[in-house]
Amino acid sequence: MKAYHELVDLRENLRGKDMAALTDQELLTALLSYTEPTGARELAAKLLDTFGGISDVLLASDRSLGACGVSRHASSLLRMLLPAYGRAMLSEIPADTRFDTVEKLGDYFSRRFCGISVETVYMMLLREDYTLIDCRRVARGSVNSANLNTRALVETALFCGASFVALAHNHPGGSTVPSQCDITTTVNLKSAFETVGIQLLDHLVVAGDRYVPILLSSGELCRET
Amino acid sequence: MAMHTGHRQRMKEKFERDGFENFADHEVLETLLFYAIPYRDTNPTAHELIDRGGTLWGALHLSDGQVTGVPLCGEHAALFLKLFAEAGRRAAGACISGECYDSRAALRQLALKTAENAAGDETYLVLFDNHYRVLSTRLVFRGYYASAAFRAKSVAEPALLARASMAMLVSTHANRIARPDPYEAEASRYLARSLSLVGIKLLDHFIAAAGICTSALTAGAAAGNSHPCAMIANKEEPR
Repeated sequence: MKAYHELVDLRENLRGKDMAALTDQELLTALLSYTEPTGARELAAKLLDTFGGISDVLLASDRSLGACGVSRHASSLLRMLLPAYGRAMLSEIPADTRFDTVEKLGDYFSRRFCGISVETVYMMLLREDYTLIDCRRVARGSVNSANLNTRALVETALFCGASFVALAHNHPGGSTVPSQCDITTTVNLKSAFETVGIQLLDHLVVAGDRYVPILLSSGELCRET
Repeated sequence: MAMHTGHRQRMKEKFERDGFENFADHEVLETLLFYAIPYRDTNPTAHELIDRGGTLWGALHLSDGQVTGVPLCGEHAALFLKLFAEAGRRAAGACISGECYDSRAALRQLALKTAENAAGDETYLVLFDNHYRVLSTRLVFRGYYASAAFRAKSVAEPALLARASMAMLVSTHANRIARPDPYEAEASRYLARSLSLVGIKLLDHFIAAAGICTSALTAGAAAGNSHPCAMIANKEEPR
């Protein structure tokens, strides 16, 4: 009963309040109260003390959260918050957006990779007018560019009727420096796509809101003006 | 109710397997609403919220009145969506922005700023990503950091959990002397070696006092030839 009243008081105190004015502790406590009716405050303090800031808590693994005494129920909520927010950010982009510049590609992929803490590769499939057909995940885990299946990528693009494609992979560690392997693989992929009349616009290395377009940076890109 | 329980479990398991990769936007919102609306089918609620907001983003930014006008959505659900949107904004912003401290001068300034509100002998750990952007700052020790009580684990563990690439330590001296003694200098080098073993670079360890800071890492050689571990373990409480 006491726990119920504490919960009611906690939420009552938030009524009408500006969420941006909450401290990380208050914000995390309030969120955890939806899964841990008792002890949300103490758990939030422990998580922030262990991981640092709220973004670190939301990027923590299930195992790390479990080691801090977080239930599976609460762990699921915490781990789905950032990916869901990333999806929401993607939904902001109008459906008829033409992805005809590196900046637009970079913005899209920065949102796509939000909350993804594992190395992942996405391929954007674009129509003749640079509008989006689909964006597909093509690799996940310890990603080595050289291991990308060229034939599978080309087939996917061909069967989806894409005129242009763009690739991107993330570096969760924060570096946007492409490896020599990334550059070589990208150039080879560009040639492979060209054999079926599809243009690889670029391959971006993404870390947060920073990205490096491999083809443009390495001087391999020739755009029609 | 059992049908919905099974459905909720399946949706969560689907998320656990593959993230939101194969979820439509309304399914993402439906899954989130599991935490705010117990035991009910949240699928129609998610559809309605997205219809009202236009997109998933719009649904998260509806006013309280617009949310509570949707069936099953009371004040708790409206609050949940606001909390979720703020947590996402804050965390995504922390992930994707931040000043770079990629020069010695910038690190010194940051060290002085970190030491501003310190009281007594304290040691702070500042963690950085690959772009020299601050991930977090925390107090890791109170007291003489070259004593046996201060373990490398209290620096390495938070650095690894935060997935930091680099770190900086800032220690303050209550005696207002911004200079490390030989044991402190050796302890700093020991910490640098320990962190490098787990792939984290210690950019520097500053001693800050009275508005001045000096580097403990580049301070003079340690006294004697004792092994750093023994030196730290045997050092009596200071000064």
